[in-house]
Amino acid sequence: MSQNAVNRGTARLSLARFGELGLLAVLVALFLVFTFSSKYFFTPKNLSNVLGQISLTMVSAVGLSLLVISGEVDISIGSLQAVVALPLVLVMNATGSFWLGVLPALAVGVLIGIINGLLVTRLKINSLIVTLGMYYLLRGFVYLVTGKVPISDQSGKDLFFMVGNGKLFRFLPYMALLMIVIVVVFMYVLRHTTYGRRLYAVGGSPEVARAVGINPERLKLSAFILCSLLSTVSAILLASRLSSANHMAGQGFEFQVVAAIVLGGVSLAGGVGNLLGALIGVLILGLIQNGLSLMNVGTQYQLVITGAIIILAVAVDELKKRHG
Amino acid sequence: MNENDVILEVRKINKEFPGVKALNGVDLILRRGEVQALVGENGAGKSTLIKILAGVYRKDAGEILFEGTPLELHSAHDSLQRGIKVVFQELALVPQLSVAENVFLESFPLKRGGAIDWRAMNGKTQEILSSINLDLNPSRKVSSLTISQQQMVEIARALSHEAKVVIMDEPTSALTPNEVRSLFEVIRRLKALGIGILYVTHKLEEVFELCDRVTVFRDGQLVSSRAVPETNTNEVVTDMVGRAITTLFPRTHSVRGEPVLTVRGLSTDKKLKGVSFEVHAGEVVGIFGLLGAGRTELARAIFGLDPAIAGELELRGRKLRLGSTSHSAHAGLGLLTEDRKGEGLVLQMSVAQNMTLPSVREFARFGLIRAKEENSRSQEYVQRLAIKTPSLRHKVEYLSGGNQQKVLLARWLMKKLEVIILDEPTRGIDVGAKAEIHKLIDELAMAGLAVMVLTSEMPELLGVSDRILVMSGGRITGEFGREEATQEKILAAAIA
Amino acid sequence: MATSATRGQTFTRALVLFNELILVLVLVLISILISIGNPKFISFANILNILRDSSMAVIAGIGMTMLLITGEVDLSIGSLVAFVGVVAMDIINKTQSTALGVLAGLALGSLTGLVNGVVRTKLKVNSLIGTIAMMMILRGGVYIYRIAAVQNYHQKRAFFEIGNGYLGFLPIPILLMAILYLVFLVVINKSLAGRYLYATGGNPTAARISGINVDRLKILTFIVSSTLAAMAGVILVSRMNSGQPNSGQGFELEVISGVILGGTSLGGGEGTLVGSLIGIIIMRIINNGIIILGWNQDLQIVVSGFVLIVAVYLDNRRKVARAKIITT
Repeated sequence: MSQNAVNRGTARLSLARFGELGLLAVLVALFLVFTFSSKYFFTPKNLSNVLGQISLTMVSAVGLSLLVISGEVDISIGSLQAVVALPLVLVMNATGSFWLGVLPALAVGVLIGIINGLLVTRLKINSLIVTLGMYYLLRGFVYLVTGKVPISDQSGKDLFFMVGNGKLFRFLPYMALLMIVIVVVFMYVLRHTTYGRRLYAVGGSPEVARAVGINPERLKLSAFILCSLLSTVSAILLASRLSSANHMAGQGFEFQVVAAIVLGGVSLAGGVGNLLGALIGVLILGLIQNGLSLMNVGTQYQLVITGAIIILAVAVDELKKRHG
Repeated sequence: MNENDVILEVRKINKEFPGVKALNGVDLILRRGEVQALVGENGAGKSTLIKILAGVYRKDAGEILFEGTPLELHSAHDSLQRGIKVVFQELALVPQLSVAENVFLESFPLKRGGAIDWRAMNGKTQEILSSINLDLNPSRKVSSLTISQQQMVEIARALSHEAKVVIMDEPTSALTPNEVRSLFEVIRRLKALGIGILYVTHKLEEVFELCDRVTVFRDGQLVSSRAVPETNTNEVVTDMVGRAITTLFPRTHSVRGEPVLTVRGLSTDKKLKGVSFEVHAGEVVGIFGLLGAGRTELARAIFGLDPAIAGELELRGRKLRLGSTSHSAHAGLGLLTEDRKGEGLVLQMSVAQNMTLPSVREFARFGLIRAKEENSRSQEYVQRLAIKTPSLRHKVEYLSGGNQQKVLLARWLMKKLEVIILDEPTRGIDVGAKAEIHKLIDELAMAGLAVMVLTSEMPELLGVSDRILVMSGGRITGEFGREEATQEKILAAAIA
Repeated sequence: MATSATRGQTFTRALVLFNELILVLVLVLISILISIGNPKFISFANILNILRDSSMAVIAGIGMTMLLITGEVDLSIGSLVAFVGVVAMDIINKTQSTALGVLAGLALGSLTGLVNGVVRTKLKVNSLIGTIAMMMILRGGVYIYRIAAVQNYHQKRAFFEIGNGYLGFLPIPILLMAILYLVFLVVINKSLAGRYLYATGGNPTAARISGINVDRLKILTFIVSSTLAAMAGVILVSRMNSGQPNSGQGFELEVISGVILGGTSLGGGEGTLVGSLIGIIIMRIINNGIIILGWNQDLQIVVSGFVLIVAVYLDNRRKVARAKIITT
């Protein structure tokens, strides 16, 4: 066996590779289907829109993938998006500075990540339930504070607007560029750093990890923080697109992200999956949503389809587990 | 005797668990370059001692001296740091990671700049694997390996860092004879390097082939420690058991009836390969096999807990559906699982409720359970089996292991069964309760049931069975009647 | 006997041993606090109000308790309640028959339960994720069925009575709740089915070996649970007098928090209807108190989310404390 082959990462050599090829095929198929069923699909404007939308999802998906690989989950990231938009817009309105608004937003995001992480690792509460509780708690908090009225951006800062809406060469959204950078960086971290491999170890078998001196709790806490941090970034992008802090922002977003990454092979059991698969999953889901709205199919259908996809993706994941 | 030869010394170690004194004043000495075998029955204390040395348990009292200086171990990581490497029976690998990643899990080799040096890691892993004659691609996910390969990877991991003491707990339980030979070579090489090795095993032939010293544990105490050339199997076994084996098992001779359970060509996708045999009414068939041979898989497949991909089952001539537990249960099969807490008892339920679980329908009128009937029947069995419990309503999780096992046995006695499969019925149970359970097994057979006893304890196997089947690698590799069976023949079949 | 060194240990031990008693105390305490803020809280009329408002959650809570005992959960009941309301009202409008509308609503519930059960047992999808997905499907589904609220065009008396009528001084919803509660109390505690529920949740393998068809039992439990939730939905639509697609938001949260607070464990094998009843009423009292004290309604979700987290934490501590008790 040549040294090169030996050096290739683990993902290449198992069912995962098979799964990714399959997903890629699905992606290509969808692309073709939509191109032929709607004349608006394969236009620069639409494609650029799609890129923008999946960038939002993918940035959060990177963070959530890290967390799920480590064996936990966070379904409060949608509500988080609504919450962190508040300090962002409020401070921006008050000070007229984009960066001054970004700082407290990031701080709040990190804080929530720490709270979630501590509740799970210190108090040993199931992460699905904790973040479900947060899902409600944070959303309710936003309703309370805003009185269910969006807070619009009055600073008129160009930078704030550009972040979410600007495009390079009138085609490539800046959001997409940011997403690509984030994806590349974290792909590297997951694959080639000790931290990344330890995430897999902790998700795969926390007791074994502990026995060799890895601290699963600390690792998971860091993953919660990264997840919230990246969702904060996507929240800022979202606020930019909405030009406001909206109390409905991110409603249902968390389930979409979960569906996308599970579709892409990141197993909810932990220890399995990679960002390439997550990206394909996000693309597939994004294409479906885009294609459906082009065909004038309402969001209620998207909800149903997303739900069905979650069930299918997890069912297939379970099948793989039992026979892999 | 040169004092500097001693690498590890343990003095007056005590360790207690609720209700059990696992280690009682144990003294042990391990020298450099010595391979010392630790032997003893289940529960004698060997595993507890090595878990203490591994940093998994904390000792209650006593001292550990490593290279002459006292050692306090607070975690598994501590003992690893010192150079004490332990290879446990329960595999300590991360299945989703590759072989190389598992071998270097403690610290991955890094390039300058912090990235993992895959080339170095895979390369070094390949070297270690070659040195133990294991031909594997280091990038393979551990979950794709067989159990014996995984066990070898664990051993490879122990070799990846500088070790001063290597402790192995039943390392050959899942290995093929070739792998066992490779392992012995490795151990001899480690010996030559001056590393001290503690080797826990129940296979006495290995002790006499490989080890320099044999130390016997019994009931939490160190009973003897002799140089191997100066002793023999009988001496060691006597020390282990403390009494002549034959008197432990009162097997009354019974009449063998017609075949009750017939198994033909039973195969599962993971382990079993075409198993066929028969069990007769009134007969106790003992099934023996080493770790990974497929005993429990056999029990589960017969009962329908796991699906089968091929094979036939017949109960008194009538075909039995495979893969359906409700069918098996209603047809008259009973299963006492290996893991009584995880799979046998409903811990939150009471003694009575656990006992009656398969039979509770008999006490119901119009769907409602008659408590009086249920309780009086349960009381019968509590008395008959001498189960120690404050009341029938007591939650079963508060009972001792032996009494819990009795509750499970009562459960199956209460139901009218044709076939009962007992998987490790006396594991983790003190000697007194063991004898009682063996008597019960005898009674079951006398009552006309077809009884299968799956066990890894040789004395129990030899004492309790009318007929012995040996399994290895998912197949039946040997069959012996009670009179002709010997430990050697059985073991030979088990590693075939 | 180990000495309980810290107050924390004593607290959790008490929690295990006297669970229901403590809950009643909490209930009384909160009631007293609220009535200090607004004395009208303790009036007979308000208490009847609270009980009537709790009836929907309690009825759904009966099903949820059974489901949790078997080790599963159902997060789709909120969306289901909305769908049932819309469908029931629509059908009564179209057929002028209250009975048909109610039956249609209940049937929808049973069907949902069947699907949830099959997804769990045959597709092996974790029920938390699976019912979250179902929650999305149903919510999307109800909007597909009808975007705007379905108004009451039939004005049927029977329909009105379900949610708003009285038998003497007793509101009908309370009567329904009481009947269903008592029936299921007997079922869970004294019947074969109840015994099987606890066994299935406590140790599925042991249950299987004892001849219980675990898959079938779980599917049945899902069906019963969803049908009960549908019943709650029927009561709701009667009280609201219109089928609203956006109703039921947060309903699942209220029910689950209440049931877990009441001592039913997420792990399965444990739980009592009595505990669930008290837990749900505590949740209701909190929500009612928020309104009566004139606080912002949105506080309800915040408090419910918070209670859920606390309830699960206590559930965890209970489990740990029980493990410790065994070893003393």
